[in-house]
Amino acid sequence: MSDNTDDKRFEKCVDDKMLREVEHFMLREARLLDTEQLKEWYEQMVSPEIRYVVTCTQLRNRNERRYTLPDKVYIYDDNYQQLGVRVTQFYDPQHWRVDPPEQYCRMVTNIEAFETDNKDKIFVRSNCLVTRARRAYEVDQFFYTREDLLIRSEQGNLTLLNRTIDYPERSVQGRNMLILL
Amino acid sequence: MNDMDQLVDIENSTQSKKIFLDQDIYEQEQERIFGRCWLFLAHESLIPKAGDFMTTTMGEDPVIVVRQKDGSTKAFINSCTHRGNKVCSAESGNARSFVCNYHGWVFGSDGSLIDVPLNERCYHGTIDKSTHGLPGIRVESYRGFLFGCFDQDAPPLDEFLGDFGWYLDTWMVGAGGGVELIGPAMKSILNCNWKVPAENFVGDAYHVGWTHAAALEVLGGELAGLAGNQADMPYDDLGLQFTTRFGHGFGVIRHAAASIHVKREGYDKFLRDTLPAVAENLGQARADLYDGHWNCTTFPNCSFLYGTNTFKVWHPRGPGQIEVWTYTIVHKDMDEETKKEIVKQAIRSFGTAGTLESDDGDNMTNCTHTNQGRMTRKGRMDATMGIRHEGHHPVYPGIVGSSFIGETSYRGFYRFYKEAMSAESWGDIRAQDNHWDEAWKDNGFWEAKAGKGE
Repeated sequence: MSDNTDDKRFEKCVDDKMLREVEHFMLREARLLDTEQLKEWYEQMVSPEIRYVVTCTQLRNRNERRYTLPDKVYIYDDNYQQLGVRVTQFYDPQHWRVDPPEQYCRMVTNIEAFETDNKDKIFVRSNCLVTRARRAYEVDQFFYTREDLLIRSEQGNLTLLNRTIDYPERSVQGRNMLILL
Repeated sequence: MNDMDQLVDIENSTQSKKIFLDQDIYEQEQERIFGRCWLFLAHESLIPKAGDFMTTTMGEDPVIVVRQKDGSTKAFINSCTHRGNKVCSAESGNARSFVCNYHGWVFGSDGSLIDVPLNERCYHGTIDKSTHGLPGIRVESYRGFLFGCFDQDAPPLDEFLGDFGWYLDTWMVGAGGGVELIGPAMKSILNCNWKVPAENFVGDAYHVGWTHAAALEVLGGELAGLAGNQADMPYDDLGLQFTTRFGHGFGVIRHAAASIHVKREGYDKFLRDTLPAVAENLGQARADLYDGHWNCTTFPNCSFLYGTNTFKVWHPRGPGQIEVWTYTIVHKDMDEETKKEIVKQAIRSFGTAGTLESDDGDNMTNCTHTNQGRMTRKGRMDATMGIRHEGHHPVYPGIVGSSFIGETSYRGFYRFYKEAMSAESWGDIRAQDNHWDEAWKDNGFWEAKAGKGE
């Protein structure tokens, strides 16, 4: 999560028309993922150039200076091909883990969209809560802040170019994170 | 005390389902297994400089591991000797001292108590600092892997690993460069008994084609052939399974080290290039295993897949829950790009969001919690696959099973589990050193096979 209060990325909000388009993008994405339309999401909303990263941060003291090994823990570090593997796995008839089906509910809120140096790229920050209900008793919740870069494709629609999540829960309570965030 | 003869039947290779969810058994395990065995703490590459520390747990005991000024490593219990608060909440760092948040007691990086606020004015000099240091734990290193042990009577780490260490040298020494762990660890909570993943990694290649069918199918490559157990394979020629004196064991699929990796050119090349030096350093027997894929458990709770290169610690959190810690193994001599690619592939397969990890987690949870049922828990777990197709091998030490798909290593794991749970002390255990393999009464399988000229 960015701790830069005057981060340049947050300087210039997009206009209302663009914000509506961004909101529509975020809500449609949530709906497609909630309703098992992963293939549609992947083909229509994701840029082939995507980098999809979920990390969490090892707990260190604020004044730590001398220990210099990386503190980022990568949970997802995917490109378009690898995201495609996950989507294909979901639909595989041998994928018993989602049979009986899981139920998902994504809430996307605090959506802010900002202009970037490139007129075709929009920087979007949002907060999310995903609930995954499974096998009668398993209810897992995932909460996080997303920082996305959207890019307008040649066809004119917005697509997801970059997704970066610094996941706040250090030890993931929800069994696994095999769910698109 | 629990009746271990009833709970673990070595001859018939079954275990009572009760051992997977019973609180009393869990308490006995904490005392006799986690209180006695060498437990993985950290890799030296994660605490390279004096003052570097990591926090972890041994069983459920919180522990700090610290690199000392003289290059040695010490570990001590992360609980203030005053009122018990943790003295360190960070997971890693570099510290000259650890200060308890509660009353400000200060402990040195060697665990000694060095300052007590208001010592003169309010304790009136009655606190003996020399007896109030953080309780120390034995620490020893094997090829850079640091283990801790609470039991002063336990054998040294290299004896505890025994023949398993001989096998591990295949890649922990390898061509000479050794391996390291890439952290920080991923961490997640899984509602299962610690033995379920430990037994799975020690000897369960059987589940791979079925549990992970979808993941293998989408991964493609040669592993797709395992999906759904559809392919007609000469299982006895594809690999072996091994178990050793103190329950450590593993299975090997020959020539399959890098098979889970989608982008594997760098890794494959590294294995090819280093293979001759491995043969020269360690001999052909181990060179033959070097480019295989290994599923392993170091008894009791440290498991890894060499090849896939995921490295796990199953920290017990009561009988029905564990915290999974996941690192990645890389050879130190690999180029940075190959290391990075291996980390990515290991994360994608067996990380918290790994395409194979989540399948296992589901099975492990259900294998544990079905035993809540009164009638269910009276049942037995079966681990008989490959029984009598195993024994002393002409080349490889320990007990060797004929196929990588079999339950030889399960039998070895639970043989030592029973022995450790039954023994009063390490003295009792060591007294059996020359008899442990008698559990395999009919252990002439390899001799008979050689006799038939196979």
